[in-house]
Amino acid sequence: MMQPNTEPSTQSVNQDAQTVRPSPIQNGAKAILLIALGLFLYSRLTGGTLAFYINERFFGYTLFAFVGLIAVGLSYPLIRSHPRRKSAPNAARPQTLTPQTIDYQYHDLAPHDHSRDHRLTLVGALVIALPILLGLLVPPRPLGAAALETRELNLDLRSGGANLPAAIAAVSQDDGPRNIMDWWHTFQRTPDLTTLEGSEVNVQGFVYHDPRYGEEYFMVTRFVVSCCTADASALALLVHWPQAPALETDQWVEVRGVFTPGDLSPADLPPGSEASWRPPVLTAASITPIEIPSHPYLYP
Amino acid sequence: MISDQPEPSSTRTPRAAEPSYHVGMNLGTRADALTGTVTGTVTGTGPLIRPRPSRQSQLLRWGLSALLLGVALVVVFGDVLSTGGGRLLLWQRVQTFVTIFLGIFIEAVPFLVAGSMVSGFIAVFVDQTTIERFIPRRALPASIAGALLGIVFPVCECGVVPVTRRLYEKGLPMSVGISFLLAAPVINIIVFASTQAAFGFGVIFWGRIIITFVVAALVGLVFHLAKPHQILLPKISAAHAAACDHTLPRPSPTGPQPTTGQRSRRALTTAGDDFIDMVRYLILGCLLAAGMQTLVSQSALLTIGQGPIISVVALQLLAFVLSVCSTVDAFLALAFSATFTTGSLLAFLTFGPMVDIKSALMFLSVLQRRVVFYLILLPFTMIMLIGIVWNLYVGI
Repeated sequence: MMQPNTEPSTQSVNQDAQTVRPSPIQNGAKAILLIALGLFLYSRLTGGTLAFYINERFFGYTLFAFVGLIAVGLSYPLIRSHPRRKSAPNAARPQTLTPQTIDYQYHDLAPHDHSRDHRLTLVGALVIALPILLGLLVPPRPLGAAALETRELNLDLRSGGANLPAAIAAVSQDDGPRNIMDWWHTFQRTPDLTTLEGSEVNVQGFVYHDPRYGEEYFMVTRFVVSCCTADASALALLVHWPQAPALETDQWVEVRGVFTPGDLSPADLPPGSEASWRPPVLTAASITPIEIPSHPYLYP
Repeated sequence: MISDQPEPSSTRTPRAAEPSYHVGMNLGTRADALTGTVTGTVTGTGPLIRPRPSRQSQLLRWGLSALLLGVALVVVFGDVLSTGGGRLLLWQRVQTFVTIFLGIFIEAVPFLVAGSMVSGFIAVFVDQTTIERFIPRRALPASIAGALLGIVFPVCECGVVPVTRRLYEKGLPMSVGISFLLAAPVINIIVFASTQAAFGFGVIFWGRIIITFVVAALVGLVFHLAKPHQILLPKISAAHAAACDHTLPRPSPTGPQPTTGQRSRRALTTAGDDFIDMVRYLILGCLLAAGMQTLVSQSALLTIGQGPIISVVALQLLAFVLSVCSTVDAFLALAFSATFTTGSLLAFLTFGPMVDIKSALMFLSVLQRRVVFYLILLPFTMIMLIGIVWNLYVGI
């Protein structure tokens, strides 16, 4: 927020009328950042990890961002090929600059400057490069048990409404294999949960050990994402499996089994639960470790 | 954080008429400084040598940002280190943080690209006289026009910022811009459709539109009498003044007129400058939002947030923290509809699109800090009151 140090009117006219022609180094650096960001998005799109971040119905937008960033980035170096006034300061420079030559100059010149601006502006470039750097340094991984620290899992269907994207309630899906979200939908539509006992269940999710329940129990968990990971909410089924302690948290598993009457002792129930209420418990017959699925989140 | 570098070289070497660039970007500062140094040593003189305008303010700005970032990181990860949660837990926390950060960022980037492109094409193809002809200048019509402008420019909360800045530089009245900034993320076709898909044509749908419209127009009205230099950053304010001042000589282009292709390319370059200017704020906002998400327990907030009054505040805070794009927040609000009051849902769906962590940070690339503060405070208070009154007296 500095005041312009030239006369305001002159400055304004120039702002309005004449383009301040930025140096090729500046242009090249911008172009490189824009193109790099576009390529980063593209790599996530084609590498299959984009589903770790956003709902798949927004993949098209990411593609648009890729195309847009590349187009915008490529518009920079080409602009230097326009004829210039002879007295222009950069007349001695090559008329057409490719990103490579600019990159070269950029890196060639950088070590000469140890002034304060150097450090300040490097921070600026780093901020823009931060998504790329973080994305490359930290291996992509979908949300797991660590994200549950701030998102409570709740098995009480009546108070757990806040955890359940209600858009699910509008979808009726009775055919085919049911995932965890479909089962929650079924729970919501079923007045008497005991009628579900004996239903065969085959779901996938990651393992989460909830300290509120006994050692033989774990949660098979999925995140539901309607937009991006910022709005992820967790859904889970309580699984009874004697070897539960051997399962590692965050391990993805396929659980086969049947719903059985809740046999949790009152001490195992979350505090505040009504004595008459029992969460439906999935008694597992088999548990198979699986790879992280290509679409780790469920979409309402 | 934007280095609003005046470019004195341009005042010395006037050139053919071209659309205005955004020169103030920090990489530019660096590159210019580099060139300046080299030119200085090698040739001794040259227009590229820039005077060093007060670096302290820039330093201060970057220092504050770095401090903010540091504090955010310490807050998010500090407790793991201090309680000895182990390296594994810390690593998982980092992965969660990065996944949420990239989630918000990847979700928002397409909208910022679109907004920057709209801004670039406005810069090159829209004449100032167009705005003068179509935008009313009197207080009330101007505010209303601003609140409805989103129908012409369908942008969400990320795209609206570059468009607003460009329109300000083309001489848009203050009140119109403020109303547009606040209302456009809701008053546009895409958000109408998503809200309708989630809630149908009910109380929520109409309430969301009407409350947004009223609040945005009122806040715009508040800023009607403000002078541009009190609201806008100096560089934008100068461009605004130039656009509004008819006594200034208009540039008469010399040489051949640029072709449409050349102008389009220039529009794209301008879009790139805009994007680079804004994306830093977006990234900082995403970092903050992801940090808050890794730290603040949603369930705690939601458990506290029952009751007709506190529920409104709770969902407003949640909307601010979550920073979910306005095009999809209706689906998110559905998740709360079973347990929360209608007034609080309306507050969530109207306050969140107007201001949240990332958009408030992006406002800083257009508006002065004080104004951004008011743009958070005024809508928050008004929507809180509307939500509470709704819960207590309407109660649908």
